[in-house]
Amino acid sequence: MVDQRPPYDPLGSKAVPPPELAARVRAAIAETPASRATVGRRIGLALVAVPLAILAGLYGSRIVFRGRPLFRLDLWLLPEIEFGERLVVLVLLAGIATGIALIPGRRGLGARVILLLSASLAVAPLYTLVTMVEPIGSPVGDAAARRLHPLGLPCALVAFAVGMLALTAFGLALRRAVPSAPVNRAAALGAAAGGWAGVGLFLQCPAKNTLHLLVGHSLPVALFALLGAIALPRLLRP
Amino acid sequence: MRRYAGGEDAAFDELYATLSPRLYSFCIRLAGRNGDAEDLFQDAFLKLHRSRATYVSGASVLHWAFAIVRSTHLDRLRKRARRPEKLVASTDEVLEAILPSAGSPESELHAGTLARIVEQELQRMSERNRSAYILLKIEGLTAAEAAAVLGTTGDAVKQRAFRANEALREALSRAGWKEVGHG
Repeated sequence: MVDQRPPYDPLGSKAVPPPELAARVRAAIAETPASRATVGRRIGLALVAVPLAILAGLYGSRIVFRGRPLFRLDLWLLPEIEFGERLVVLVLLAGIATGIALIPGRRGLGARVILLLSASLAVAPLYTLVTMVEPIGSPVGDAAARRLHPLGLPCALVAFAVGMLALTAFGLALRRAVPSAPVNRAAALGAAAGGWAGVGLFLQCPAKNTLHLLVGHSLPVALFALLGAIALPRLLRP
Repeated sequence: MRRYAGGEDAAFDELYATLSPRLYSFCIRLAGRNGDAEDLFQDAFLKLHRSRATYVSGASVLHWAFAIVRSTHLDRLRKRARRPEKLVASTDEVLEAILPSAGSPESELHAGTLARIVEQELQRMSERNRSAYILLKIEGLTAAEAAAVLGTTGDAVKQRAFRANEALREALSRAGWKEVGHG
């Protein structure tokens, strides 16, 4: 008699969970509430929160550091095209990093790791390049910049405030939604938040001093990728 | 899954029936011990339930669930590293759970021995190599799919699975199994 059964495949075989385990799972699930806010909706809210975070950070700095203007004083005196181009590049930089970090992707597991790593590493150097190579200014801005802290510590605090607000919004958007590569995703979210903080500083601070730009602007932008990688993964994991 | 993600609790039974055999096998192969595998399975399903609204419509439910299981497994390993306890992998328990009774007694014996060596070696290797091997060679995912589940690149997955494969081949050869060439 010939055995008609399919070839025995020990590695491909599937185990069936015992019924008591199924009962345990059902009982545990019945006691556990689940959020109904879809990740798309949360991401939408986070994107709305970004400009609000920038405004809140800048406005907050006006209250904390009395006399600090909401936007740089020479905003209307700057060469329009040059300023506009740089602003667009910075917004694009932060926007692309945000897209890479937030996008669920075709598989629903986020962007490819290589893209996440690129976003995490690229924002701060590119930001530095755009803001520090031949920084734009005006006589009014230069006069105001002379009164600023040489290391730009208040700017670093403003960057921290804006970045933290953006990072919180991004973290809540992807809460429990990142089962794979949470550290890479968190670093990319941090870099994106840092990028938006950089946009805020570009709109507010007229400084052209290299040390001020490096310590007060670029360093906080760079640190946000690290901060995201350290602080967010636990929030992001399911 | 789309119905369940949308808040339809009644869809859970259907989802459980579809996913549980694959996920349970995956848990057993990842965690190595039957008791651990059951806890991992339960934890993973609970997390799947809690994050159901984050499922992206149109994406593979199985791959998403694999990623949740693996994330849960890593969480458990991290916790265990903080509070170490002596663990001895019980291959017999694993095999009992994975191997259905099938085939002739002789083929069952051979398959059982083969599976025992493979399982022991799987438990011995690093978690990275093990998970890459399971997803690629046992669960049949492509390198790109496994890379998305494991959060790494396709090349890294292939490399890890290759290392695992080499370790298994060595273990089988030590046990006296010979490789038979195709064609």
